[in-house]
Amino acid sequence: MKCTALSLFLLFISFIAAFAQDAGFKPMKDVAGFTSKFDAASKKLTSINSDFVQEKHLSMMEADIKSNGKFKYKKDNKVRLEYTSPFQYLMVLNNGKMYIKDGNKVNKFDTNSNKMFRQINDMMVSTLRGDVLHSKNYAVKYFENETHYLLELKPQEKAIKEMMQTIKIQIDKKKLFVTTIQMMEPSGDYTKMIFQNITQNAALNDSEFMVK
Amino acid sequence: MFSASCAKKNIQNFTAVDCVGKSYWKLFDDKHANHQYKTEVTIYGKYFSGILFLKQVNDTTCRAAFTTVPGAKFFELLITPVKDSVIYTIPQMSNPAVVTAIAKDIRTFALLNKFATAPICLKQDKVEGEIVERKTHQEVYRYFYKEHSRKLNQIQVLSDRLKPKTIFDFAYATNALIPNDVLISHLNFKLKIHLTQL
Repeated sequence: MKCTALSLFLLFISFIAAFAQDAGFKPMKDVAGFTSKFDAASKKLTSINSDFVQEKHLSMMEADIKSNGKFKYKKDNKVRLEYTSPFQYLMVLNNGKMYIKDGNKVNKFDTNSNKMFRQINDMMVSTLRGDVLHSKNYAVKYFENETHYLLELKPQEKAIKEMMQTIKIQIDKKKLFVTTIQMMEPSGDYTKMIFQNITQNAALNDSEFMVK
Repeated sequence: MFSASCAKKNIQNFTAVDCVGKSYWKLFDDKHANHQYKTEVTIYGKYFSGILFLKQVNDTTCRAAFTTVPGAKFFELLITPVKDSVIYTIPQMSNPAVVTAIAKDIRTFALLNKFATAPICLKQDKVEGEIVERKTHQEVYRYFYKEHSRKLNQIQVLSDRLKPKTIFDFAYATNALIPNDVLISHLNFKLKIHLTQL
C-alpha cells in the first residue's frame, strides 16, 4: 500500500515537473556544445530579414490578440520592427536610440536615459547577437527537443523582474536562428513573437533603420 | 439600459422633459463583453500610443488593461462605480494621479458612474436628439443621444458650477452598437485620448 502511494506521489511530481517546463522540452544535454555553436553562428550573422506574428495573451480576454509584420536586424545594434496588421506601427532601434512611428507621428527616445527602453533594446539585440547567454542581467536555463533549443531567461534586475518573469527563446537546431521569443509576465500574461520566412545575411540598407 | 421620470422645469438653457419609460443604449453589454481600442494619448504635447483592452465583467464591473503595441503591459485595472483596484502598473506609472484620471475616464466611458440623483431628461432647441443629465456629489454628467438610434453621441462632464471638464465624442460604423471612434478631451489640463476600435 505504501509502495503504491509513493509511486502515485512520484508519478504526480513527475507530471507536475513535466508541465513546469515547456511540453516536449528536456534539459539540454550539451550546454557547452550549444553555447559554442550558437556563439560561432552569431559571429557570422550580419543581418536577419523575416516576417513575424505576435500573439498577446491577456488572461482577462477570451482570445489572444494577433498582429503581424516585418522584422529586420543588422549587425551590431540595428533592429526594425514594423507592424503591418491590424494597423501600421514602426519601432526602430539604432545605436542606442529608439524611434517609434505611429501614423504620421514620430517619437525618439534615448534608450540610455530610459531604463525600460534600454532593457528592451538590450534584450532584443543581445539575443540576436548571442550575447544574452553571457549576460549578467539574466540567469539562463537550457532545454531542447528534437528540432529546437529552448532558453529560459530570468531577469536579475528588480525593475525588469516586476515586468517580466521569464523570457523564453526558441532556436532552430539546424539553422541556429531564433524562431520564437516569448515574454512571460508575473501575472501569467505573455507576448509571443514567432519569426517566419527568415533570411540571414542578406544586404540591408542602413536607411531601413532610419525614421523620418 | 435605464428608464427615468422627472418634473418639467428650466435648467440653464435646457428644458426638462418627460422621460418616463425611456430607455437608452448602454455602451457595453454582455453580448459585446470584450473590446480592443488602438489608443493614442497626447499629454502636454507628448505623445504615446498602445492598445486598450476592456472587458465588461458584469453590469457594474469593468476590467481594463493597456499595453504598448509590442506588448509591454503598462497597467491593469478593475473598475466599479465606487472603487478602482490596480491589479498591475509598471513602476514608471506609479503616479497615482495618472492612474486615477485614466480609471475615471474608463469608468465614464463604460457608463459605470455612481450617481447621487435620478436621471433628468433635457431638451434644447439647438441640440438634436435627447439629453440625459445625472449628478454625482461633485460633477454633472450630460449624455447626448441620437434621436432615432438612441446611441450616445457625446458625454460632457461638468463641474458642479456647470463648467465643462471633459468631453467624450463618439462615432459609430454603420449598424454598430459600440463606438468605433472615441475622442476624450480634457479641458482643464492638456490631455487628449483617441480610441479607435480594432
